[in-house]
Amino acid sequence: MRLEDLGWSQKGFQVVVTGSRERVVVDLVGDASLGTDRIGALVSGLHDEVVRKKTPIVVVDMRQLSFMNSSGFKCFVTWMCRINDLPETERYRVRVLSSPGMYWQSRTLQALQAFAVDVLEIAEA
Amino acid sequence: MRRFVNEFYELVTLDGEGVSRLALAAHELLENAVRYAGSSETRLSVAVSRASGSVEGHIVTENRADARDLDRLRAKVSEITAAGSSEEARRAYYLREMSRAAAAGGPGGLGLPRIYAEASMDLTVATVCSGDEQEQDQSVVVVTARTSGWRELSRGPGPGPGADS
Repeated sequence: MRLEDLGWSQKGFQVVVTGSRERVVVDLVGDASLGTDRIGALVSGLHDEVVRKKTPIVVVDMRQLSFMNSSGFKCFVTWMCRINDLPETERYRVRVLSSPGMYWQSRTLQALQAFAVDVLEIAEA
Repeated sequence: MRRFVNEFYELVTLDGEGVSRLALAAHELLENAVRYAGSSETRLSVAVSRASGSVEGHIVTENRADARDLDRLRAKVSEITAAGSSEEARRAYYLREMSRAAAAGGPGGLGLPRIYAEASMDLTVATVCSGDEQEQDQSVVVVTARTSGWRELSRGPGPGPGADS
């Protein structure tokens, strides 16, 4: 599977996935609650590809993500669990780029980081 | 809907972060209500009151639900209430719920914990008489999320209210 094929675009929400050997970048734009039914498949497919290619880091750009509902958030929680369940040598990092202007992101991402402290890092941009 | 709630609360407070919490709670409550109401009507009410620097916000959903869903809802709200109201208690409960939800798989499970922990709001559930004898197998469920000790912040130099959309 090509990483690019994991992305999609729908009214109000867009996912763009790009990658190299060094990193995979996931851009989330709009309201993720509109695409909840596909986010689980996105992070699952992403995880499988990143593990297969031994990519050391995934960057998730949420700076233009206006909202994510609890169903989408749960997909990220499950993703963090899957990374934690990997043997230590196969684990990779997830870096989230967040926007201080999206107030919900601060609370949601702090909770996710507390849950996956060894996996997730947050960068405000 | 979330934009409406944002704009409604912005009329009465400049605390954008607080407004964002209320909008999050409204979104999650409404999604829950619609999920369990099926094709029947769901109502959402939002209210706010202010007094000497503190703001109290209420978000209320009202919808029909069958007995099994009502029991599960009551159990979840009781569990949340018993977890305590301090920020530490909310965080600890949320972390447990994240683990539990991930282990359970499938959709759902984090909406109410998110309101309790991220929006720092307290939840109650009640039932009211529907007056509709043809709907005896269902109850009208009223779920309320209420701010807890929210001290209003003034607008700072950063993003103003409405930064969330």
